Amino acid sequence: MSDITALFTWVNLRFLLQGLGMTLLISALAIACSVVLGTVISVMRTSNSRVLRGVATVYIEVFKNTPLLLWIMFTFFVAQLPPIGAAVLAFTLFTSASVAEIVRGGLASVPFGQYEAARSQGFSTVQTYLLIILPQALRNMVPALLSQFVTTIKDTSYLWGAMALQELMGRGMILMNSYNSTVQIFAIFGIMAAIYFVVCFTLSQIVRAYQRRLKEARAG
Amino acid sequence: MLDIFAPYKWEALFQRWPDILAAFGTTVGISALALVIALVLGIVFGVLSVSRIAPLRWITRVYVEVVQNVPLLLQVFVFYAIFPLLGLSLAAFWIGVLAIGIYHGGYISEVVRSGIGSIHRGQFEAARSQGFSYWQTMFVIILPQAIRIIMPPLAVQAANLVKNTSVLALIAGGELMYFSNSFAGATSYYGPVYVVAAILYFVICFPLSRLALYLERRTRAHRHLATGDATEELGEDTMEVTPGTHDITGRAAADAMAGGVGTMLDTVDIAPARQAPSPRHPLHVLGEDADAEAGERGPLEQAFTGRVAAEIADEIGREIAQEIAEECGDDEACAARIMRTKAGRVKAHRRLERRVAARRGVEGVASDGVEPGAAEPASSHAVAQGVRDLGSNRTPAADEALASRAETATSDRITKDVRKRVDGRGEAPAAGETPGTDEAERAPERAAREEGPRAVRHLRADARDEAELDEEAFLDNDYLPGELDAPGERDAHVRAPRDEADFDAESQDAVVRRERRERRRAFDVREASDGPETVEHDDVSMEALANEADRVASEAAERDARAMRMELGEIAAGEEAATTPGPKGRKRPDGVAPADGDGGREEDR
Repeated sequence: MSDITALFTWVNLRFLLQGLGMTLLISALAIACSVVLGTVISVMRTSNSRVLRGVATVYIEVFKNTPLLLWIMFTFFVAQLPPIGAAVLAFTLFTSASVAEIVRGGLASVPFGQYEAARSQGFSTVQTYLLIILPQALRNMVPALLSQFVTTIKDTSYLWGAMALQELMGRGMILMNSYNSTVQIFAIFGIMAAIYFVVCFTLSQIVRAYQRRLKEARAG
Repeated sequence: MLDIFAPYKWEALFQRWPDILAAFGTTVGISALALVIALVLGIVFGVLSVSRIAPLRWITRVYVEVVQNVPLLLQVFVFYAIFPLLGLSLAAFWIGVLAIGIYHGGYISEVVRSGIGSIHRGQFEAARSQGFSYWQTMFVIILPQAIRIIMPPLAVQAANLVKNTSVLALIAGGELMYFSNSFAGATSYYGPVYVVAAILYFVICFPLSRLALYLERRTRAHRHLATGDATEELGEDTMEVTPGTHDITGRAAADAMAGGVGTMLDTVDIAPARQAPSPRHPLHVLGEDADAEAGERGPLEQAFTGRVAAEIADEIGREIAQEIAEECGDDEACAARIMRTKAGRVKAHRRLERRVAARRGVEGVASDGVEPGAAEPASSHAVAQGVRDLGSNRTPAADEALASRAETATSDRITKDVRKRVDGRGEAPAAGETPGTDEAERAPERAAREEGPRAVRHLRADARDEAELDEEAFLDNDYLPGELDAPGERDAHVRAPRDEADFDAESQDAVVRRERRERRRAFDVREASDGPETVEHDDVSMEALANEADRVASEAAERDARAMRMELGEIAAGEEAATTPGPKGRKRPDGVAPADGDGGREEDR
C-alpha cells in the first residue's frame, strides 16, 4: 500500500497533469481546425458544383474509412512535420470528415426561411452563412461536437506510441519507467484511466444534459 | 519530397506482397473474432441494461461508461500487462481480439439498448400475456424485431472496429498497421506502405459504411409498418421520389402520427420525433374528425391510429409528388427547385389542404349535420362541405390579402368566386338569396357574374353542380394556406347574414368592392389605351392599396411559414409564444361580420 501512496507526490501529479494539458491542447486545436475545415467541406458538399461535391464526398469517405493511426503516421513520417504540427494536422484531417457530417446536420436543422430572409435583406452568401446560419446551426451542433471532442481526447493517446509526443498517455508510460513494482504499474494505469475517465465522463454528461435541454426546449 | 513515392520504393514494397496479405488477413481475423465477442457482450449487456433488476442495470452502466470514456489504447495496454500477471501468456493477436471485443461490446450494448427501447411497449405486454417468460420475450419477441433498427448502427460499429484494430500496431499485434510501421521503420520507405495500408483499410471499411447507409434507408422505408413510426420513413421516402416534398409529407405524417399514436397509448418516448401535435396542420383535421367519431372509446380502440395517419399522409404525399413531377416533366432538378421557393412550398401546402378537404368529403368523416347550413340546403354536398370548411376558416387578414390579390389578378371570375367565399357565405343561387340591402348592393356584381358562358351553367346549377363549381373555384384560386381552426369557430362564418350588423357590414363591403372595381376598370382602360404615364391621384391610391395588400399578404405568408417552422419543432418554446398569435387572437367575435377590425379595408376608402 505504501507503494501506491508513494506515487501520489506533487511532482508526479504535476507531471501527469501537464500531459493532460498537452492532450487537451492538441484535442482543442484539432477540434477548432476541424470545425473550420468541416464547415468548408460540408458547404462544398451541398454546393451546386459537381466537382466540389465530388471532392467533398471523396474526402469524407476516405477519412471515414481509414484508421486515424495511419494518418498520424502519414503526417509524421511521410510529411515529416514536427510532432505537434503532425498531430494537429492528422487529427484535423481525420476529425473534419466526421465534423463535416455534424455540420451538415446542423445546417439542415436551420429552417430554410432563414436563408431566404437573410438573402432578402441583402446579405451575400458568405454573410448569410457566417452571420445568420452558422450561429444558429452551432447551437444544434454543440452536443455532437462535444462528443467528437471526447473521441479526440481518447484518440490522442495514440500520439505517444506513434511519435513519442508527451501527452497524458506518454507521460504515464514515462512515469512507469521509474517504478518497477507491478502494483505501482497498475496503479499508474489506474490513475491514467481515472484522469481520462473524469475528463471524458464529465464532457459526455454535459453532452447529455445539453441534449436533454434542447429536447425539452423543442417539446416545451 | 517526391522521392517519398519513388518507384523503387514501391518495388521494394511489392516484393513483400505475401507479408502484406498475411498482415491484411490478420487484421480481418482480429476484426471478425473481436466482432463476435463484441456482439455477444453487446447483446448480453444491452438486454441487461433494460432489466428490471437495478444492480444489473448499474453493472451495465459502469461497464459502458468505463469502456467508452477510457482510451482504447490504454485498455489494450492494461490487458497486455495483466495477462502475464495472471500467469497466462497470450499472443498479441488474442489480446487484441479480447480488448477490442470488450471495447466495442460497450458501444454495441448501447446500440442494442436503444434498439430494444424502440420496440413498442405493447409487444412486451402482449408476449407476457401469452405466457412467455421474460427471457423468452426478450429473445423470441423483442430482439428479432429490434434487429432491423440495430443493424445500421451495428454496421457502423463494425467499420469502427476494423479501424481500431490498428492500435494493435503499438503492441506488435502483427496486423496491417504493424506491418506498415515495421516495414517503414526497417526500410525507411515511408510513402508507399501507408498508401497501400490506407487502401486496404478502405477496402474493408467502405463496404461496411455503405452497408450501414443502405440498411438505414431500408429500415426507414419499412419502419412505420413495424412500429407505426412514419416520421423519418416518409421524409426519406418521398424525398427520393421528389426532393423537397418531404417537407409536407414527412411533417404531415409526423404530426398525424403523433396525434394518433399519442392518444392510442402514452408512448411519447417511443415516438420522440413528435411529442405534441401542432393544432394547425391540415392533416390534424382528419385526426380530429376520426376522434370525434370515435367518441369516448378506450385508448386501444382509437379509430385514427398512427398507421392510418401514416398511410393517408403517404398517399397524399405521393399524389402531390406525382403532380409536381408531372408539372416538371423530365426535368429532375425541377421539383427540388420548386420546393426551394416559398411560392412552391406554399402551393404544395395548398395542394395538401385541398386533398385533405376532398378526403374529408369523400370519406364522410366530416362532422356533417352540426352545420347550420340553412341558407344552402341544396349545396351541402360533402365535397363542397370540405372545401368550404377550409375556405371559411381564414383570418380576416388572410381574407383581405386574398381579396386584394384576387382583384389584382386578371381573371374576373376568380375575383367573384373568392369574394363569394370570403364574404357571402350562404348566397348559393339555387337556394335563393336573402333579400334586402345586401341584394341591392350586389346587383352590379351579379350582373357581371352572369356574363360569359359560365353564367349559364351557374344559373342552372343543381346541388351537385354547385358543389363542383365551388370546388373548381377553390382549386383555381390563389389563396393563402388557411389555418384550420376548431370546429366551433366555423359556425359564425358559415351562416347567412342574419342581423342588422351583418347587413351593414355586407353593404359596406359591397360599396368598397364596387369602388375598387371601378378604380380597377379605369386603370385597365388607361393601360389599354396606352395613355401617358402621368401619376394621377387615383394611381397613387391604387399603389397604396397594392402596397397595403402586399404587406398584409406577406404578413399572412410569414405567419404561415412560421407555423410551418413551428410544426417542424424548430422554434424554441419561448420564441413560439412571443411570435405567434394565439388561437384566441385569431378568433372572430361571434355575430360580427368578417369586416370588423380590419385595417386593410379602412384604408381602401
